[in-house]
This record gives sequence, C-alpha cells and structure tokens, in this order.
Amino acid sequence: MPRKVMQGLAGEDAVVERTVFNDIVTGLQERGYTVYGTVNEKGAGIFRPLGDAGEFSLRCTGGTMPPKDLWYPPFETLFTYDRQTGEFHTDIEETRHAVFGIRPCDVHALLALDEVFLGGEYQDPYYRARRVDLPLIVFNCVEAGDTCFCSSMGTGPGLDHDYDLLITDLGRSNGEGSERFLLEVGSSRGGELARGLRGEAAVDEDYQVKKRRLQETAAGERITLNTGDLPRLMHNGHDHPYWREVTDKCFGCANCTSVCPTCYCADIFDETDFSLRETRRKRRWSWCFLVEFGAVHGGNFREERIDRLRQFMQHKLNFSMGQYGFFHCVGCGRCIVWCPANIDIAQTGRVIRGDA
Amino acid sequence: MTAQADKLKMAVFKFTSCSGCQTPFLNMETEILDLADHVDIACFAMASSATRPGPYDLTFVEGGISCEEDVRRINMVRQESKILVGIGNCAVYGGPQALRNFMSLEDLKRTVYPQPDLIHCFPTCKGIADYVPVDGFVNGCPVDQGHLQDYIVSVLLGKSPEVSSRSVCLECKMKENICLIVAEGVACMGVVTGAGCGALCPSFDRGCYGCFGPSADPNLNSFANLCRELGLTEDEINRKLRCIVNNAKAFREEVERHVPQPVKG
Ligand code: SF4
Ligand code: SF4
Ligand code: SF4
Repeated sequence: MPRKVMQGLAGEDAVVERTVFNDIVTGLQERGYTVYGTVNEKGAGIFRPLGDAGEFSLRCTGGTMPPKDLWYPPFETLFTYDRQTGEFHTDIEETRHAVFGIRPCDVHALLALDEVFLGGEYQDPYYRARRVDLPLIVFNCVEAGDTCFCSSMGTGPGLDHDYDLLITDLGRSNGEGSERFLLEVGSSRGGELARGLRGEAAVDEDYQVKKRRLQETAAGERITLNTGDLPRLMHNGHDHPYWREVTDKCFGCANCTSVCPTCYCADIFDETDFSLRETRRKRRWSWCFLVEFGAVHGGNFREERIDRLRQFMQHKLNFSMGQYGFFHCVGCGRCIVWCPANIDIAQTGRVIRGDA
Repeated sequence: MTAQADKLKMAVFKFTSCSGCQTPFLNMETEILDLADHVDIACFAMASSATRPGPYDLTFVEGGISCEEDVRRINMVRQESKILVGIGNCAVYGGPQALRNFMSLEDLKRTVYPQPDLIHCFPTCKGIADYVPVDGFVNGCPVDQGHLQDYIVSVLLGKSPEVSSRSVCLECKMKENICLIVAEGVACMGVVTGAGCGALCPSFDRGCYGCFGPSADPNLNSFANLCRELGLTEDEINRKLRCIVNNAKAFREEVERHVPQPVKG
C-alpha cells in the first residue's frame, strides 16, 4: 500500500523519524513547558530538564528514580506562618512540567497517585496544581529492563490511554533503512503538538508491528508474578517463614520505598528560622520502612524490621487492592534494582503465594 | 530585642575531642546575629575567654570522657545545666579515640609518647551518657550546623527537635546519586548509617565511612555478609566498622561477633 508522505501532519497518527523528537520537545518549550526526559548519567537514566531532544536517552528504560517528584516533590512548603502577625500564607503555584519519554508503568503509577491525592472527598491542592497541566509524551517499551514485570502487573509494556502522544519504536524495516517510530495522538493537546511534524500517515501494518513488538517485549520479561487471587494469598501468607529469611538480609535502608513511583506517604514538620519570625510547615516523603514511621504516643506499631518490610510489600501486592481496587505495584522493578541486599518483591510474592 | 535575663542562657563545653563539633557554632555567621536576639551565650571558651558561671538553660557538650578530670567536670556541667545535649561522635559514643578501648593502654602509651608515665587517663574513652544523664544528642563526626540550629530553635520554641531514622541511602536517593553498592560493588556503610551529612562521601563516589553512627535499626550482620561477598577480608571489615564511630554499640558488637580481634599491643 502506497504511503502518503506529509510535510506537515494535521495532528493524526503517523510514522516519524527520530528528528521529530526535537520538534516535539521544542514545541512543548515554546508553549511554556519545562520538559523532563531521561538523560544518561553514569550509566543510569535520570530525569532532567531537557535542553533539546539530543540529550534524551531512549535506552534507559524508566529512569533510576521515577519522575514522581514532578507531581509530588520530596520536600515542599505547605504554608508559612508569620509568628509576629499571626498570619498564614499559602502559595500554591501551578507548574508547567511536561515529561518526554515517560514509560507506561510510570503513567500507571501517576494514575495511582491521582487516585490517592485527587480521588477522594478531600483533594490535595498542592498535588493538583502540579497535575493540572502535565503533558505526557509516552514511550512504549520495546525492550524490557532486567527487572521489569509490568506485563504481570498489567501496566505495560504498552499503554492505551492517558497519553498526549505515544511513541513506539517500530525498528528498521528488514533490519535496515532509517529508524521508524509510530506516533499516536491521544488528546487534543497531543494533536496540537503533532501538527506540522514531518511524517507519513500510519497504516494498519504499523499498528501490527507495534503490537508484535509489544508482545515480544512482554514475553521477554524475565520476572513474572501471577496476580490471580494475589491479595488473598498474601493475606494468608502473613506468617510465612520467607518473611524472616528476607528480613535477615534486609538492611532497613528504605531504598526500595524511596524509588517506588507509587509510594505516597509523607511526614509533616515545621521549620523555623533563627530569628523566630517565620515558621514554614513542610511536607516531605516518608516511608513505612522508617522506624519513626510507626512511632506514636506510647509505642511503635511496627517495632521490628520484619513488620516494616512486610508492610511495604503487603501494601503493594495486597492492601492497595482493597484500598483502591488495583495494585500499587506497577512492576517497574526499581525497588529490585536498587535494593543493596538483592531483595525482590516479585520473588517474595511468588514464594508467599506458593509459586516458588 | 529580648532582655538579657529572658534569653536562653547557653553554654558549650569541650571534653576529649578535636573541637570540630564546636566549629559549626562559629560558622553561624549571619545566623549568629539572630541568635543573639534570643540566646545569651554565657560560656563558650572557643569563642570568648569571658565565660560566666551557670546555671545554664541549654548546654552543648562536645567530647568523650577519658580521664578522672573529665568525670569531675561532666558532673559539674550536668549540675549546672537544665538541658544537657551531647554533640558529635565523641560525646555520643566516645569518638575516634575510643579505638583505644580495644587495645592495651600501656602499649599504646609507650608507642605514642616519649614519657608514657606522664599520661594519666582511663583505658577507655566513652560517651557522656555513660557517666551522667543526658537529655539529647546530635550525631555526626562532625555535627552539622543545621542540626545544631534546629536544636536551639526547638528548645526556644519548646518543642522536640527533629530526629529522623533515615539512612544515608535516602540522602543519596534524594540527590539521585547512583548507588555505589549496586552499581560499583563498593562496601558503602550508608545502608547501616544514620543520615545527616547529606550523603557527602557517596556524592563524590566514596563509600560512606559511617560518621553519623548506626541508623535506627541497622542490620550489621547483613552488612558484614555484603562486605564478604564483595571480597573484603575479616580484617578489612573490622577496620571499616572501627574507622570512625568505633564505639557505637551496633558497630562494636558486630566486630566482636564475627571478626577476629586485632592482636593487642
Ligand atoms: S513496589 Fe517496586 S516494582 Fe512495584 S512499583 Fe514500587 S518500585 Fe516498582
Ligand atoms: S509501601 Fe509504605 S511508604 Fe509506600 S505507600 Fe505503602 S505505606 Fe506508604
Ligand atoms: S532496599 Fe532492600 S535492604 Fe533496603 S530496606 Fe528495602 S528491602 Fe531492605
């Protein structure tokens, strides 16, 4: 079937070359967005503000840290209090961040946080101010990382909702020729960005190639976890001896929770300067893995490391289902990569449910 | 301006130590003016020889207890202080000089001093809490200026100071450092060390030396195993755990449990 080559797309799905990445990044910047994307640093992918798309690294799967800090920063001031006048001052500023190259698992993690911060009766205005205008240029994964298990968790390697633009590497036809990417438009904002780009109209075959590549990626994931009936099995496995085995290795460092794209817990504290004129009430990330997390008046409800480790994994693979109706583990694999003790949540899930 | 009598009367005392934990007070350059509004620094020999007697509202103590004279003074300081806070590795654990706790004092004296008989000290150096009741601690080797400021502000406001059970790892993660254990196979002590330094060494690709002491619930047994997996000898593990905060219970016990003791003398 002959392809229609277009100098300027009108905002429809298309097959494009890598050169359009820069046009997309520039287009976002011209519209006033700070564009974040994974940059290769010391052999790992880190989300940084991009000058241009040349700095973007396609190879680093999801980034060392998730881009979560863009919508939920590790530290933030909730309000300031003037100790002399007694006045409170809240300054909620809407941000204009865009993410170029966010992966499907991290989009699912973002949707999970939406549920946490905006889904209930009380909405978090700080989160909303950063979420309201957040274009997502999503890259489907055509190569799974060593610790990815998104296909088990149903969060990848492809995405079919909640993107502005979705890009899938179609590879080179017959292993040669130029790189080709399927660009799919998922919103009017995405359509705006795609307008005027250079590319060819997408045809059925392109969607077939995409489908095949995603199937291959899913099949290539080395880590798997059967999620059927998992919450009940995890519940029953509360006293499984494996928890002790893992705890004996665990340092209690909390790296795992700190890199998780869906961990949302926080701790509130006050900061007063030396003049005692102003107090800032702040929020910072906190995690159930910290000893202080369970410290309440009269004691600590998670005194032992085994309780803290179990809470982390049970929340991801069990409690979240009851709370929100879906798992808060999106299978990104970061907690596995960055655990210095090689503790593996998927492996733990398999053992507790009786598969390993 | 608060009247002198209404200000918080503060003192800083030094025991057996290197003075590095008092220095942050001197480094509070711009803050010191604000501080002077609320705090009356009545006794701080490193800053001024004009010292005034107690009682003090808030006393910071740097240094470990190393000899008879230290014991006499720490009891005096305790009596004169409403709130007594130990600052730094020495006051909390005994300091780097507590290394001698694991050796023969007589041999050490002979190795170091030309006239060993002039040295009168205990065979051990210990933290101040081994001798007097202490109201709080600020960890570090040396302590961080921000933590001292937070302590003073907290006392002024009548609230408890921030204490966190975070590990150095979390400071690395917040800086998006690439983990040295995972990526480089370095036996970094950050996993068992309390936060506070801002992950200073790992940010320069050096494994953590453990300056802030053990984290809240450190798994030293697993850390020693990690070191072995990374190829460290028992002696190297011993030296690592005894490098700076050698007398902290968790580090000390791990050495005693698994690692052959160095030959005394
Ligand atoms: S629990 Fe681990 S694998 Fe699951 S989403 Fe969090 S970091 Fe990723
Ligand atoms: S795993 Fe722990 S820190 Fe993460 S969201 Fe759940 S309770 Fe919070
Ligand atoms: S990263 Fe690993 S060692 Fe550290 S707290 Fe998590 S499970 Fe334990």
